[in-house]
Amino acid sequence: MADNPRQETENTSMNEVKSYRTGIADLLAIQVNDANTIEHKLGVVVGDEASARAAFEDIPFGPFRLHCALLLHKAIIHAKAVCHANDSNSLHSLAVQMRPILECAGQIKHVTHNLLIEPEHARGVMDFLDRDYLGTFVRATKGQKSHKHLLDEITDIRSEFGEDPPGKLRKIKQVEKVVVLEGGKNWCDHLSEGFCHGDGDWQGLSWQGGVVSTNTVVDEFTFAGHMDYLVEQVAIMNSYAALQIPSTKTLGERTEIVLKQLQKVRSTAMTLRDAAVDRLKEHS
Amino acid sequence: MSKSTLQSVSDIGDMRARCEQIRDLLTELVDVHLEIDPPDRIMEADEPDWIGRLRKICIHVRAIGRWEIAVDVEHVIAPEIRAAYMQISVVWMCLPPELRLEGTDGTRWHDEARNGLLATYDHPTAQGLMLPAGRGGFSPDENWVVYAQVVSWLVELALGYGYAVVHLSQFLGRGVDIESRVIQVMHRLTETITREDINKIVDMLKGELLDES
Repeated sequence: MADNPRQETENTSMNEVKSYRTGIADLLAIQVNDANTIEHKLGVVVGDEASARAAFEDIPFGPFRLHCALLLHKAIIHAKAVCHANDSNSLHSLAVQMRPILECAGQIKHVTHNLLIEPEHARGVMDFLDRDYLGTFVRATKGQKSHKHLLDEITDIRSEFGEDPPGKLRKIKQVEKVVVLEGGKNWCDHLSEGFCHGDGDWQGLSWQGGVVSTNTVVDEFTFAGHMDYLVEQVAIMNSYAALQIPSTKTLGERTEIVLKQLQKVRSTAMTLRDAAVDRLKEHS
Repeated sequence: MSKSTLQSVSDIGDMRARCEQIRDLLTELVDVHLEIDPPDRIMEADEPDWIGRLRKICIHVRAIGRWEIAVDVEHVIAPEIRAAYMQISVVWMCLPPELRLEGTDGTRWHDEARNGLLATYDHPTAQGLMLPAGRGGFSPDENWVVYAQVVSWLVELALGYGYAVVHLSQFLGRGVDIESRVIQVMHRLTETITREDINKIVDMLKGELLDES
């Protein structure tokens, strides 16, 4: 090895980046586990009609908890697929599974934040949920239920609760789901262009959606970097979702607890990232 | 009528097994593709774009092949199928006319990817997740609906991918032996599920859609 210092340097760099990737993957697995626990603590069973009905009729904040549980459940499925893709060394697969998770995380953050942290914006949440209803059913019924028909339904429901008609509602754009996440729009654009929509340059680097590069330090960094961003967003999603768990503690106390946990995830990720970057700088 | 042809809705009890068979045939296509164009083959800068796109399709089909056909599988394979469809819609138009099915252009994959159910699975919202399992959500649904949906997606995927691999073999001059292996896989696909079956499935899924609405 001493005869070939350049090779030794490359091996050291590769090992450091591999440790970063392994460490971040472990951290992601822990976050997925936490998300699972939070989903169960929300007290709404996804896929159970009786539980969904009870959420709407009997449980305070039940519809919001159901909203949160559904998105959390979906995110967990795709996050497990991300772990699977990482184990299989498939960046393209990891990338396409990552985008729905970001959309779930963004929606949980948007709704919970405006409902609990800034309740003065709760009206905006209602509009958001009604727009979701509108967009989903226009699409699901292939237009058999018109935009106007659904808008009338929403108006009727609102008037039952003594609320004003919704005004002009449009379906939710994909970007609106992720814009509340720091870097969310850029990351979703990147995933869409390079991987999901597949217009990325196949001759480009792996992080650009290329298919010609294998087993380089850059590839390892690409895996680690994608999961690093994802870990942060899953941790944020978990933090907001945890605020919806029924508790005797005040919102302030609960917020303090989840922020501490979030900080712990951030500092672990940062330690892993910095170690990899520092060693690369040393050997470059 | 082939022996595999579905007789009625009750025959769809074996829909899960058909998903597995088609998934396995797709994996066989991947194996042949990797023999024709191994990942360590260095692509020249002037190689046609569709060969690179075909490599992307291969990656997603491989990922699908690793999943067990079980509860919630539709959620994890939908983003993979959708990404593969986007590529097939472009690759298909690069195939010579004699390899393309008559009257078929790339829009059948593009439209399903952009506006079909796949998009619902790939762009979750809470309201969408309240829909039945066969429509992108988690509400209880009859198993055959979910698996029938997966069958129809996988068949379309195998169709586009299979013919593209035949063309790749011809283009790179890999010989008739390897080409005939792809054709055998495609032949077994038609034995597993006929066009008539697919039409029946699509009609039944449409019926479900109308019932739901």
